[in-house]
Amino acid sequence: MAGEAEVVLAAPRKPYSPDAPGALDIGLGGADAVAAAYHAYAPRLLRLCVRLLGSVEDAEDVLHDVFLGLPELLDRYEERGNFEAWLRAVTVRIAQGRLRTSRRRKVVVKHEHNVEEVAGPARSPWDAMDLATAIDAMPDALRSVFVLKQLEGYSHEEIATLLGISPGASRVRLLRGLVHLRQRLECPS
Amino acid sequence: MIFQRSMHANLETIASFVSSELPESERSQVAAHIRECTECQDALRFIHRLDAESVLLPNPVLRADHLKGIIAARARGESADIAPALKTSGRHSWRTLAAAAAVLVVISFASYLRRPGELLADPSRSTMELTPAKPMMGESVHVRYQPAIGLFDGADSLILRAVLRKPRYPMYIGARQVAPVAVLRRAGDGRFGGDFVLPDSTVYAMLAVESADAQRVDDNEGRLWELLTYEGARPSYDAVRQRVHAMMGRNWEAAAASARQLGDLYPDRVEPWALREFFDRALLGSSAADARARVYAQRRDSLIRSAKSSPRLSYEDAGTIFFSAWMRARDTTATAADSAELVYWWTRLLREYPKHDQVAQRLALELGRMKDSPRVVLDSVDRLYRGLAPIHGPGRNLFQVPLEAASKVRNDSLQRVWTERSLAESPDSARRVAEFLAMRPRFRHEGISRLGELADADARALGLERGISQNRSEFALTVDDVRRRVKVAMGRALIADGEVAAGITALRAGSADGWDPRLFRDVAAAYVSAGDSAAASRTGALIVVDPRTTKATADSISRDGRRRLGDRRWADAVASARVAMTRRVLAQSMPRPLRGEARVTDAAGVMRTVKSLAGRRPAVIIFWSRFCGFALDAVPEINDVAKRLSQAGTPVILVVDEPRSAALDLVVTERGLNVPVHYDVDGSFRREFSAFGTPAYYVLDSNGRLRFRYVDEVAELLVQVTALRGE
Repeated sequence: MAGEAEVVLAAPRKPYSPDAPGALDIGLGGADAVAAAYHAYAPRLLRLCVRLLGSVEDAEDVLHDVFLGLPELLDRYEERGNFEAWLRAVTVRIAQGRLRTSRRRKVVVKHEHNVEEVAGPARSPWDAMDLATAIDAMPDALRSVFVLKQLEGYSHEEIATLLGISPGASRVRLLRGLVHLRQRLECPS
Repeated sequence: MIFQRSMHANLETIASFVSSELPESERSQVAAHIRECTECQDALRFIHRLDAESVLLPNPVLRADHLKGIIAARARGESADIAPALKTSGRHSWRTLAAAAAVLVVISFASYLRRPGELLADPSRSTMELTPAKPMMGESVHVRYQPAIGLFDGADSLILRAVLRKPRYPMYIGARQVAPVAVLRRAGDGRFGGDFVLPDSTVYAMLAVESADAQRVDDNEGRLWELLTYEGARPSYDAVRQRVHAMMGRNWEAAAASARQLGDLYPDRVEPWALREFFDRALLGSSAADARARVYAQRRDSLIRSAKSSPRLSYEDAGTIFFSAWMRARDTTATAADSAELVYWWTRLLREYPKHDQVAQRLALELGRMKDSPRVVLDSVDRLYRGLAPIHGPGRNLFQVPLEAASKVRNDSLQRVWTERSLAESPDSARRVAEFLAMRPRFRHEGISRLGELADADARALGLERGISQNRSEFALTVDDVRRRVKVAMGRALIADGEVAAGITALRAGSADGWDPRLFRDVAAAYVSAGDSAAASRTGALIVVDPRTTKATADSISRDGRRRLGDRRWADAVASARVAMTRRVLAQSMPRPLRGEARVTDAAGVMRTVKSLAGRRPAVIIFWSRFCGFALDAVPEINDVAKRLSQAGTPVILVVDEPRSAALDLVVTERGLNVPVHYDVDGSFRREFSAFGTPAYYVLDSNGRLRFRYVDEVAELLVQVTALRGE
């Protein structure tokens, strides 16, 4: 039991060191810090970008640009808010820029049903896979608002700032997006 | 546009209704309209489904060499011109102002339109009607059940399950009391109906509805539906008393309310006054309870005087009166008169209820004092047991006496006898006795054999039954967890018996899934005793990465790991352990989308939704109450864990179910609660999370899905949040 004998049970608590790096770490840290930021934030940012752009390749390009330029961008970060929220806003704007340019590959993600998931008698009329396909097929302007509002939880005011539109336009686009989706999912014919 | 009750709500309005973004007045108009309009109910169903399916959207995975490409590009000096992405648009500032003004007009006008006292319709909540509403024992009960929109769409029949409690059932809820009682079939109006007969012995029932495959359970947002049996116009004494017992450990405030009701309905019984005093002390603290206790004591003493002239007492009152006399006689201020009272009531208890729980408890405590004569104790307690068995409730203290005495005289056989007796009525007695036997050399082979039979046994053989709020998948996790413990116990016993290879195989099987550092500690120790130091170190890495492990412990294990494995292999072991922790902890989670209707008020009086509080990060919700002793006791640990989580950027949302008040602020200050308090005045947070008792802990993922609930201990939150951050 030599291994156990050395364990000290009544020790002071370990001071918490967050595993996700903040802005300061990245600004000071070079490649390792960028890699650490990438591991901490890239998976969630990728999900956001894929939903906005409808293409994994385009989303990876956006993330490439975000993390390539991140150390320099940090000069503009004023440490007033949540770092991840700031990074997401930057990513959304870059993705929007990509939507407006011809650089977009427009390779729509193919969503296939997992056989195990749909097996059994209780398969619903439409499910997440159908929804993913329907979102990909939405017009860009409607999809952006739908993704930011319904999937990412931004307010109409925040969306207005991110997309350069009014909150009212955001509401209208959301309504049109929801109607579009409902029609496609519930009345596919 | 202002929504009017007579018009349909568009999808955007319904989405705002679901996410609680409508002004209160407009919300009530929309709710009232949805209640009456099938078209809008369909739209609501669509939005709920959209929310539910949204959280199940596939997650893309990054290309393995994607990061390498970024690092290489930076090394080559490439740059990306992304500065324009930082510019915010001022293009529509006038529109924003105009929109804000318009919203204000809408709020003002809609408030003007609001009808006072209008009920908020809630088509997203289930309802159940029981007929008769005041049944007698043994009577047939008809059930009409309307599920929440979208809950059981497409189902033709559902199962009604119940906890059926008899008059003498002890406190707390047990899964063994759960039974399916009826099949509910869908009727023409879309509701479900069915009948069941209350067993003669049942006085109180708690009900839940589930799908035929037991994957979806509706437990009325944690409250369960309840049924009390009646005697005439009032619920029976036993029914209300069983409600008190069933609420213990679930919701102390509900238990206390039932205790008060018991006293109001049956003022001539002694027990309710003792229960009131008990709950007042538990919920209000001794000083606040003292004033009330004096009133209760006067009433109780008056009833006790009357009881002396009664030829026979009820079982409950006999026990309560004796216990009260016993406590008073043990007090330092006790007089000779108090001792005489104790003798009187002890004699009556023995005469009227010789097998009463209190008889066993008192005799156990008297025998427990004879610590220097273990053999005499063992003889005496054996005779007592034969006379009193089966023993329930507080009388079970009796078993501690012979177990300690047998341990003192090192008599394995007697320890076995008393272990088996003490566990005889426990549902999991087979497993616990097998573990006991496997730990003792004399019985080890028998223990290993029994554990081997249980290692892959079904739930019933393991003494497990599905709880009333548990679905099939959640229950499967519970069963797997117990099977793993059986395998670890078997592995340790095999190694102790010299069967090292077989022991290690069992240990591997037992620790391959799940996340329990205490188990890893056992496994590492077994590996050390088996001479496999590399496996011990790899298991130690699992302990090191757990955020609950202290720095000193982690350092100690790490030093040992580096020495045994070398720096590089130890680093690999720690990296693998981190991945394993994320995978194993998340495998225990049950993603559940929230409806998004919950709102609380923060300290500044601003209404906040779950989304606005949690953002797009993992977040922790804690339900807390100043009236709950457990919640008060948990404050230091809540402070500690909340501090660590907040430092890592994880929102911790502590919720109370009352408005802000000076009294609440005082308790928060006195107790040193350092977490910002949010006020769930309309109960929407409690409903959203099905939070029924306090303290209760919930963890959300970055998509706003509920991933963990009913966390056993506060520190577990650290592990779950760490795993979600690594997702």
